[in-house]
Amino acid sequence: MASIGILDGLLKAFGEELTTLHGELSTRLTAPLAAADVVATVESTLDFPDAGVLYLEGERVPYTSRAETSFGGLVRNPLIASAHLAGTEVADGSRSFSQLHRLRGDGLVTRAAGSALDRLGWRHGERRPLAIPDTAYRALLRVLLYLERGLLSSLLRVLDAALLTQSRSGVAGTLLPQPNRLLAALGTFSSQDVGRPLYVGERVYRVREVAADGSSLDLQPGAGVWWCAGNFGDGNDVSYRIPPFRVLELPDTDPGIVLVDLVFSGSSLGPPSYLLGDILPGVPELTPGGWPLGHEILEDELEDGATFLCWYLPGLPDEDLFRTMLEEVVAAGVDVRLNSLLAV
Amino acid sequence: MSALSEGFGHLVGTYGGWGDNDTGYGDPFHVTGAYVLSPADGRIPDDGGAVVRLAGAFATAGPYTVTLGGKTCRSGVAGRASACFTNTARTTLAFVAPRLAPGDHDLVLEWAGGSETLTAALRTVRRHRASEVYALRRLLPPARRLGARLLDDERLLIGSEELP
Repeated sequence: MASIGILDGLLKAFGEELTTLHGELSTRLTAPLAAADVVATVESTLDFPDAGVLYLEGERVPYTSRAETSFGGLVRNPLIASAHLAGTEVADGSRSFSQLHRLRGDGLVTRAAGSALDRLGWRHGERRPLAIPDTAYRALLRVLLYLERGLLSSLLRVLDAALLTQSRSGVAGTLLPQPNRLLAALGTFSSQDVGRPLYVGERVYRVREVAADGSSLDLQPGAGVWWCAGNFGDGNDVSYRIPPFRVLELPDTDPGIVLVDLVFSGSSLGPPSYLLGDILPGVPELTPGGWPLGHEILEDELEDGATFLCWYLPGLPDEDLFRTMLEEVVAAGVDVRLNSLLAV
Repeated sequence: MSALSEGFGHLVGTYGGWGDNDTGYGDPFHVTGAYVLSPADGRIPDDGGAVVRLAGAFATAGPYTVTLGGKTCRSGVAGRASACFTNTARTTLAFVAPRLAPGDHDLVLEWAGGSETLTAALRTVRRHRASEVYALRRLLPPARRLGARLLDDERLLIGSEELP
């Protein structure tokens, strides 16, 4: 057996790793392949997928099976299929995501997951709030990293992202004479829904009125920045989602400063409704020296280890100061645990 | 002195639940339930270098001498040559496969307390080609004898003999 030199061995090792990372596996035909052949005899199928796509001299050939030295079930395109000689390179075209693609994906909010998503958030100064799943954190980062900050619409998106998993969704029907009315079973909607945003796909509407028996609601075709007139036609397949909060604008404060009214539907999430003003009676005083107002979202039972998800608007000096301010104004006996501060 | 009490005092009974001849510190004479953990399909390339991991209840932490197809495997750890060791929990043992001709190969584990043979444990198949290997070779001057710089210059792998 011939020995392998150190340099050759190293090059081979590096080459194998680089190929795994971003290259393409390949092998060679050991017998000629005619234009109509559906089985290709090759040197090896080691590490090739059981079914996938091969490239032979520019010809794309899907296959459906593989043995130790052959690919079977070749799907040859009669328009481009041609004969190939023995020794022709057969490249694996099945790897839609190489390791390098995955590495790149880890840098994208839409594709990163788990610790990769955490690293992405850290790099942008947005830590993952405690107990926030990937879905909500991803939605949150998409808002925090890409949206223009300080706008009411941005705040709405942040709220929606943070509480994504607590949204209520369903399918409602519509009738043509009343295009802005969603119909559902008795008791589906409640008066708590009035004023809340309602998502249909990517569109956001606002609930204007709910029938007394909870069987329908009217959407508000307002002139706000985050809802628009609804017209769903006549059908029975309107998929909607209602986040567990309302956003109330304060007319006497700067744009973007809002009060959050949380409306939880689940029994384990506390009382049916909280107004921020009820929790923090001193909210207007939260702006000493002209600092912007902070927001909070109640996530759990207030009286039993309440958890807040808090953030602040641009211009707030630092997190500690905000924490101090918040602790000063909350009612005595309420346990304030700042989950995370997110710049909006 | 009974063979059952050598070195560890007198043992009560001849079976302690961990195999015969149990000394109270595990069974140094057997590897229980060893199987190839990775690669999962038990196929390795014929040009060697694949890291193979065995799983099982290993008798000792090592050193083990692993022989595959009659060739001694390297440990893959700097300074340890062919002396292979398990992980701390003695549940996995790693080694590096040598170059072998295509086919099924028996795996022999040898250690101070005994030996174990896993019949047809691994199957060697022809290697695939890695495009980056040729790209790297092309970066170096031709005077360096590093093998083919192009895939077309490689010998076609037909047959089952071990290639030089």
